[in-house]
Amino acid sequence: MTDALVVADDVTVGRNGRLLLNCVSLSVAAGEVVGIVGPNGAGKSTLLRVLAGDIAPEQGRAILMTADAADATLQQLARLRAYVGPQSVSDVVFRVEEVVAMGRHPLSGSDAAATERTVAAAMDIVDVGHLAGRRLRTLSSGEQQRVGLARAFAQQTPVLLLDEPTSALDVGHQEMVLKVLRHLAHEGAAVIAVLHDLNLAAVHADRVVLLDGGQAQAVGTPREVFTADRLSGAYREPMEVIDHPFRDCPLVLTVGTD
Amino acid sequence: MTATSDFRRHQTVRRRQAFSVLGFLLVAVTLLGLLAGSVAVGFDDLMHMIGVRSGLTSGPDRLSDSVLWSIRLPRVLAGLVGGAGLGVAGVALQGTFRNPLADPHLVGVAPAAGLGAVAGIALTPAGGSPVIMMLCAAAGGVLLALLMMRIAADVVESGQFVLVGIALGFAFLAILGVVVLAWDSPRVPTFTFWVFGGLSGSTWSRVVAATPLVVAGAAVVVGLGRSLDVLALGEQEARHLGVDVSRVKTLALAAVGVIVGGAVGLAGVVGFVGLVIPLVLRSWSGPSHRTLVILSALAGAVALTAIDILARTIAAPVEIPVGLLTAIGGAPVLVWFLLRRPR
Repeated sequence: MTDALVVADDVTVGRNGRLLLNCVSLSVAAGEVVGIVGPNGAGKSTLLRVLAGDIAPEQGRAILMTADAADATLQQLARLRAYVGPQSVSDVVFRVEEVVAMGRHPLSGSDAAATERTVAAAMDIVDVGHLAGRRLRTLSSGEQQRVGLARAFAQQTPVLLLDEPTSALDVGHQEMVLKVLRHLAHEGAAVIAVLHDLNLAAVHADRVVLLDGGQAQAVGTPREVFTADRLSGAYREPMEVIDHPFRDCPLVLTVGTD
Repeated sequence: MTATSDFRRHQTVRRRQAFSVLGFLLVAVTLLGLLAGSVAVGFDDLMHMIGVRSGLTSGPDRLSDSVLWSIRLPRVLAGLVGGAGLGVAGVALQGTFRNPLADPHLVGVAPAAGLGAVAGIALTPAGGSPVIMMLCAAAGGVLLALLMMRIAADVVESGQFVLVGIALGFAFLAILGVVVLAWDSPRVPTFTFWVFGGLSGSTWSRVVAATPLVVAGAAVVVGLGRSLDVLALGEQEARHLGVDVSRVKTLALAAVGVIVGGAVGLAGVVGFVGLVIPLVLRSWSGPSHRTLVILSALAGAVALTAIDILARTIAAPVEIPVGLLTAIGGAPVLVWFLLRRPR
């Protein structure tokens, strides 16, 4: 893909003699929302961290725009990608607005008024504007997660890497956040999100990557990737896939084996 | 009124209040420190000394001129500079380790700087060189601060980190005490100075040698302020926001070592100032490091100078070591903080 913003090219990562990722390739263009799905330990977060430049692959490479993620400086990476990982903010004494404004740190020196507008807009789109003056540690985990997302949006990078961005959110806020991701993609961002909820991925992702055992089992649209056999095999749990009754996408159901 | 503007307005008011109050107190303790003491000195004597020293006025020498110029002014400046240094060092340590209980005395940086200072005295010929003593104190402080950084990398719990620091602090303080008592030289300040602190031996040469260290270190910490803010989110998050965490921590801790070297060279090993001042101010004016560093410098300067005035007046002619008074005043504040802190 020539207009790809993110490329994972034959990425292999190992630790203690075990392969966490095995020759994984992926290309994500501007305007795309890509979901990474798979069972626990499949390598989803590892792939995201390779793309973020946190982990240098043993083999292959990750490219963000034109930069090799393993070679780029932290400052370069922070201007190319925003990353939201699992939240660990229990002791953060800063207030919500200050935390979101930290997303502008890589762009220090930018116009103060514009920064203020960006921060306010980032808080509003994930519904944390009314929490601006609250200390982060006093918020619920779902509110903290939305603040983390607002901080990433304030970073205004062309690439967004999100590790389970909706894990602590209620259904309404899950939908809201994924609509925001779609909106950002429409504006030219490449969005890659690790998602545990297959149906959220089916509704909102343009393409999904199914990882299992460190290998990409399938890459394609949700309808192409989400087949009963493939999902049942990956998750070791019988599953069925039907047409969503209200949306143009598949609906994944666990069958159960009572 | 939006939540954003409400919060900002409130924070700005708080910061202005803190700057105003501390600015007023700084002037007040400076004047009080110059005027209070066993030799009666009035405001008129102070003006006379300033006029004579600056060449604006002339007149017969007064006893108060030499008392003010040779004894009280260096002592007040030592309190101001040393106290400011301890306040800044406390902010930098707490920000770097993301631990509100990190303190130059508690984690051993101050005792290590004291040991460095004594080594510096040993290295210099009779008469001593305050510059070499301060530089050696700074080296001791830097080495211990970087050792704590190494230890912190292997420690998961903040409580464990503080306990390791306390153990190292006690060890260095004990070694310092043994060295000073065993050496028993008139060239070395007394055991009491090193272990409990004191400003009675303040001289211009020490103030001149220490001030650049404290100012340079504080400037580095101010420069790192925004990065220390981002570091509060966690090291991984800070890296994702472009902060070179290892560089920031190394620079901040080197600055702490240098500042504490200067402060210890001036005031000996004084506890609680670097711990309590940032804790209280963070609650008052917010956690932003740039503001906190400047406010803590002001508050530390006020606190140490005020405590020194108490130390030399409440039981005159006996002088009480300042470290004892900082402990008496600081311990209740620390207990209050620990009990009110949300869990």
